[in-house]
Amino acid sequence: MKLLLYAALTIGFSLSAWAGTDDFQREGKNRELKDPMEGAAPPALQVRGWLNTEGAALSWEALEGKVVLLDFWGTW
Amino acid sequence: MSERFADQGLVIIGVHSTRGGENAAEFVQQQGLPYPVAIDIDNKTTSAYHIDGFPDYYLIDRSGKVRVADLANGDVERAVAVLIAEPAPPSIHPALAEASRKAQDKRKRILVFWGAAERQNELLARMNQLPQANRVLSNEFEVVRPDAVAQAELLPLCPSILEERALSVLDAQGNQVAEAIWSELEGPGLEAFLKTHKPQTLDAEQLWAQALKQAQRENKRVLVHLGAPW
Repeated sequence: MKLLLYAALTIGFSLSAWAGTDDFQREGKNRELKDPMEGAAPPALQVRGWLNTEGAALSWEALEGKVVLLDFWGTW
Repeated sequence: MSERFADQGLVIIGVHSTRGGENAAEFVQQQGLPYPVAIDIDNKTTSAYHIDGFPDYYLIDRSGKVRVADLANGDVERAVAVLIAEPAPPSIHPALAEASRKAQDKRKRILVFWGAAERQNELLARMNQLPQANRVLSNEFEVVRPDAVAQAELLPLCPSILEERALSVLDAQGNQVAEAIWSELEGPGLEAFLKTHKPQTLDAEQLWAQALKQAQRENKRVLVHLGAPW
């Protein structure tokens, strides 16, 4: 069991080390799902509406060449 | 921060949770948030990004790729400053843009035809005669046939002997991988050239091992779909 746990830790660690060559701090659960997203195109934004765009939807094509910060938040 | 970097190419997009989404408009107005906000639907976007708390930050760089998935809240400003300082990658020529997008989606390469339209037609006709021409022309390569103007503009991308060049193979990002002059494509040369420079296939054993490992870790099963990826 100890050995298994060690193996799991090693795999987890090597995956997170492999994900980036920068020193930016990452966080959150499910790193094994998040790490493979890095270096790939971002998933589509599937939304029921946009605010502050005069109703228009933003597409990744239109944002080419920009640095985009996605800020996931909520109010309730 | 949106003001500090706005004229340097930073775009902030808020993604509001599905829950409470009906109140987002009021909140945005009250707070005077200046940037675009998308309202998630049925948690589709938060699921796709594997969001596990609010706020969560994701950074996309100038080449359009996710650079940091779930950046630590305290490191946002520093990371944004680093990415802002990076130069934008050279934008791809419009003649290649659509092919590049499709090629990236489907793991294809781009096949660029050079020279006069008549010679291009002849070459394409020969390709259509090849065994498995359909696979080559629809599953392995995106065909681009630039007109004379576009050819002249594309030349710096694909340095070569101008007069003689017949075909270039580019990777999905538009970098030249190989090229052939007309005499090399005579007879069996055409099929051999296409075969040599078709997109690299993924290693099934490697994929299999990865999937098994992930399934074990997440207590899932592996669904194997045998067949062509298209």
